[in-house]
Formats: sequence, C-alpha cells, structure tokens
Amino acid sequence: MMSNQTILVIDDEAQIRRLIGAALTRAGYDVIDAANAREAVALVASRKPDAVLIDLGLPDRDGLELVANFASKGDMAILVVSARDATDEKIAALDLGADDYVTKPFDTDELLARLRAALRRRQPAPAQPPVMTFGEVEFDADARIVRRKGIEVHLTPKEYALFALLAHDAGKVLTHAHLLRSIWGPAHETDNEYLRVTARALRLKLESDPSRPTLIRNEPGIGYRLNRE
Amino acid sequence: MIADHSSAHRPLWAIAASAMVLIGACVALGLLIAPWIGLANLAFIFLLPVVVMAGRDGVRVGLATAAAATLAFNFFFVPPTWTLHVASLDNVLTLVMFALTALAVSQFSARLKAQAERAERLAADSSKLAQLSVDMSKLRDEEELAALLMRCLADWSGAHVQLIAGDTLENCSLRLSPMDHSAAQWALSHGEAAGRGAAVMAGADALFLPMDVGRDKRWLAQFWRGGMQAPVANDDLSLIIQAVARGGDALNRARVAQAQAEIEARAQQDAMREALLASISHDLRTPLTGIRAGLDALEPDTAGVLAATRAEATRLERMVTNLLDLARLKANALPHASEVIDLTDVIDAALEALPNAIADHPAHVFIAPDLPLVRSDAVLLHHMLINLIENACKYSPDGAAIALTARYEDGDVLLTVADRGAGFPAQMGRDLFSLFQRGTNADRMPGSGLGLAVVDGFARALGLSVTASNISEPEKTGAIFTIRFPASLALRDKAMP
Repeated sequence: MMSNQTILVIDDEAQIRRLIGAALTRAGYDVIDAANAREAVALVASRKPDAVLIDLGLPDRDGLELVANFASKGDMAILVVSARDATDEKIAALDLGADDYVTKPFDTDELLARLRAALRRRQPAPAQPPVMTFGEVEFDADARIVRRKGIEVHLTPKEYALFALLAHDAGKVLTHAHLLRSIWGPAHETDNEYLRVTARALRLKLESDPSRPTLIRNEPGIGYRLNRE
Repeated sequence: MIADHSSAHRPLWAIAASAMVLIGACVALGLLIAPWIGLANLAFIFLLPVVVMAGRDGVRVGLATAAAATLAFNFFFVPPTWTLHVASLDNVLTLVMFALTALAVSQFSARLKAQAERAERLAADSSKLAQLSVDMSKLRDEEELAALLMRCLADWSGAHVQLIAGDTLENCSLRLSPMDHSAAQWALSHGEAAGRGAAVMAGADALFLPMDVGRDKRWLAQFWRGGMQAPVANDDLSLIIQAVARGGDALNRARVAQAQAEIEARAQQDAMREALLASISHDLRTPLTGIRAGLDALEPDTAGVLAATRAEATRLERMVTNLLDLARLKANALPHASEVIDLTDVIDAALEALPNAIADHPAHVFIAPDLPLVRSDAVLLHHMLINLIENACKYSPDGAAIALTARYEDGDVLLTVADRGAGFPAQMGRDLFSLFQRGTNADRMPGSGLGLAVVDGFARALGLSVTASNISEPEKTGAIFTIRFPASLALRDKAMP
C-alpha cells in the first residue's frame, strides 16, 4: 500500500492550523505544520512534504519569498492560502510558481479539491497520454490536432497556442501576463485585449454554450484555466 | 542708487565752475612755460580739461569744454595774443587742428566713461540678482517668497509693487483702471511687458511684467507710482525684468517642491490606510475561516443545523467583504485597474462564486454575439455582480429563475440582472442604492442593504452608471438592475498581431 502523502500547513494562527490540519487528516493525508517561515524551511528540508499550504501573511518573512524558495526546489505542490484581497499578490504567487490559491475564508471541500488537483499535476505522468480529453474536446498534442465531438476544429496559430498552453497545465490558473508573454512576446505582456479576443474565439469553437463557458474559465483579474472535466 | 551716478546730474554751475578752473590752470601753466615751448606743443595742455570734463560729465560738457579751451588757447597764446584774431595762416591751421582734436577727444573719453559706467552697473546688477537668488533659495514657502520678491522689486524700482496671480486677475480687476486692466491682460496673454514704460499699452498708469511661475501658470508684477514719473526708470528696466524672471523660477521651484511634498504625504497616508484595512480584513476573515473549517469537520448534520449555520457564516462573510469594500471607497483607498474585459467572464465568475444561490434560482444568461469588450476593473465588477445576483436571488420566489444579459445598445454596453420578485415602489428610485436603505418589504428578507451601496459606489469609481427599474409587463413583476458602460469604455474590434 502506498504511504500517505504529507502536507505542510504554514499559518501563524494556531486555531487555523489545527482546523485545516483536522480536515486534511480526515481526508487521509499526513499533516505537519509550521507557525512561521523559519520552521517551514526546516520542515521542508527534513520531511520533504508532497504539498505545502502557505498563508502569505507570516510574522517573520513575506510568504511570497517562501513560494519562490519552495518552487525552486520543484518537487512539491504549492497552494497559497491568503486572507488578503490583493489580486496582484495572487498573481505574484502564481507567477513565482504556486500551483493555485484559495482565499480565506474558504470551503473545506474546495480546498481539498484544489489540493488533489495540484498533487495530481505534480505526479510524474507514467506516460503522457497521446490524446488528452476535456469533456467533448480531445487534444492530440503530437499531431497538433484539436477535435470536438470527434470532428477536427480548425484553430488559428494564436488560438492553438493558447489552447495548448492551457491544456498542458490543465486545471491550473495561468496568469494573463504569463499567457501574453508566452504567446505574443514580452512586449505585449499588458495587451489583455489580444487575450480576450483569442479566448472568445476559442470558446466559440470549443464550448457548447460560449456564453456559459465550462471549458475555458477566467478568474477575474488573474488569469485563465482549462477545466479538466 | 549707484554713488557715481549722481555726478551726471551735478548742477550746471558746478560743471561750468570746474571747467573754468581747469582751463584757468592751463592758461596759468601755459603762460609760465610758453617762452620755452612751441605753440603746437602748448595746445596739448589744453586737451587735458576736455578729457577730464568729457570723461566726468559726458559728451555735451566735453564739447562745450573743447569750445571754451579753443577760445582760451586762441585768446591767450595764438598771436596776436590777448585777442581772438589769428594773424598767420600757420596759426589758423594749428587752431583748427586743436579744435578738431579736442572734439574727437571729448567724444572718445565720454564714450569710455559711459562704457565703464555700464560695466560697473551690470556688475552691480548681477551681484544684486545673485543675492536675490540666494535669498530666495532659502525660502520654501510661496507666500514668503512672494513677499521677499515684492520687497526687493519695490526697493530697486522705487515704485509700488504688487504680484497678481494670473487666474485671479479678473477678481482684482475692480481695483485696476480700464487701461491698466487691458495692459495686465495683454501682459498675461502675450507674456511680454505692457503698460507705462513698455512698448505696448504705454498709456496705462502702471507697468505690468509677466512672470512665468510654472507650466501654463503666469503671474504679473505690477509697478506704479503717483505723479508723472514712469513706474520703472529706463535704466532699471532690465534689472527689474531679470529679477521678475528669477522670482518666477523661484516660485515655480517652491510650487513643485510643495506639490511633491503633498503627493508624498498623501501616498503615505493612502498606504497606511490600505495597510490598516488589509489588517482589519485579515483579522475579520481569520475567525470566519476557523468557523467554516470547524463546521465542515462536524458530521452528521442533525436536522440541517450545520447547513443553516454554514449559510449564516457565508452571509457574515459577504457582509464583512461589503463593509470593507465600503470602507475602502470612503477612504479613497480603492485602487482599480483599467484592463480589457470580456463580460462573459465576469458573469461566469460571479455565478461560479455563488453556487448555493444559483442552486435555488437557476440563472438564464444571454450574451449578445456582437458584444464588445469593455475597459474596466474585473475584480470590482465581480464584486458588483455578486451583490446584484445575491440581491436578485434574495427577492425572488423560491425556485424562480433570474436572468442576466449583456448587450450593446446605442454605443453603450449594458449588463442587466433581473429577478421575478415583487419589484420595488417606483418612488424609491435612487434611494435604493443609498447606504442601508432596503426595499420596504425587506424586513423579512435577509441581508443588510450594504450590497447595493457597494454596487453604486463601485460603479461611480469605475465611471459606470447603475439604475433600477421594475419589469413593466402584464402578469409579470420583478426588478431589473442595469450597469451601463458608456461608449468610451467599450472597445470595438481592433487589429491584432
């Protein structure tokens, strides 16, 4: 039997650590916790957790520094838990390598769902399936072909680039700036309009109801994500 | 003014007397040495008074002295002596040569003198201006600077001086004569001197010098004095003009420094407010997180108590969010972005954020296919729409659908949320959005009325308008809330690489 996955909860509030810890334990994870950045760095080194939950408001260091630090190690899922409303902080966390974020107060089920998704993405795929499926849409990355209901959909190069980026990180929010940088180049990092127009065109071709998208979703002010289901 | 300046205005008798004395001394000296030297050499002695008088009192006095010296030379030394007759042609030549030389010498030395004076004056002027600059650079306050400048200008010109800010000219026009007012306006609009002693509007009583105190900001320095004298003497004009220009520079610098300081103070204040609100937000949300996580840990749900408590916790969260949003609005601590947004995303995200409300009240979404993108702040719009959707669900009968539309109308983009509730009394109009105002039949409805206040406040901050109306169809009731994006915020299709 596979051993339980270990989750490190980093939060300066003892009650929150206890309550999140209890929820994670019920879900079958091993939980360790840290009240500050110093403890967290030590625990990551000694226990090698599979995922960390970082509250950005830590007493001794900015949580974003920890995100960058842990992301550089590259072998654990990073979820940011923040009570802060600041959108730019969420964007910064995602750009620094966080897998996802949840805003306090959050739904326990939602937290667990996002954690599972992040852990799954981190697992080395035994063999990248040649064809990925997202609901009615199939993506054959090798052949560079996208099908909907089995029929090939013609995408423009930009539409294809956007879809491929989202599909390779399916389930993860990719920030607007990251997408613009990757598809149009660093000079167009703030030209949101390109992205909106391309995403809309992509939805018209791939969604069954483009006004109620289920595949290509947007997080206000942050970025796009491709739904796995 | 300058000490040696006064010598130019010595009384006539004093000038005449000194010329007499000098010429007399030459005659005496000439009589003494005449037996030993020739007439031509003797003439040189008589050039001395001409040089001295021209150098001291100017070219006219020099010419007069030259004439007098010629006569004296003729009278005392040119034979026949003691008469003004000249006997030999040779001596006529000597006398003519002497007269011409004296003429040239007087002009030459007068010019030298004038040049020396001008140089001295310029040196004095620039040292005064330098001192003024130094004095002004020590002052930070605009009013103190203006006072110093006025004192200095009054001192140097001897006239009354007043500084007038350009934009207040109309207010103080009552105290100016019509001529002065025209001159002031001319100086203000053309940026050149106008009025008495200037090239234009010389008929005015006062002189107005323009003073540029910053980009697109001009003041006037007004000079006047009683009587017939010009407010600023011609000789002083260049000094005064330069002093006014330096004053403008100093005032400009003070203004920029002051504005900079104000901006810094405001930024610091804003940052403190934002930090305070962020910390309050954290402090309020942390216990809510604990309560939510704790409720999720309790199972099984006896008689729906947990579900009800969870719903209450969610309500409390929404209220905390709305209160913080309102506090940010009131504190002007509401930074907002201007990004290009697809309203499809805003509607989708808002519905996703309200799973429970939508479970009870299915949402019908209609988005016009030709809907333009809009320029706005996605996060603030998200909060607005969440409040409108919650509001619509709150006032809808159980199970009744709500409708969301986004469409294009006469260049504007409209986002509407409609419910199937009882509507609201027509007379309430805009009151609906005022803080804590709720529909009259709202006593039994959950919610605090904060939501619509947030919607309205955010709309104003984003340059949008939001209105409420009742559905006016037979057999149907309900309210429609409309967010209107003016045409200036709607984006028509644009070429894309």
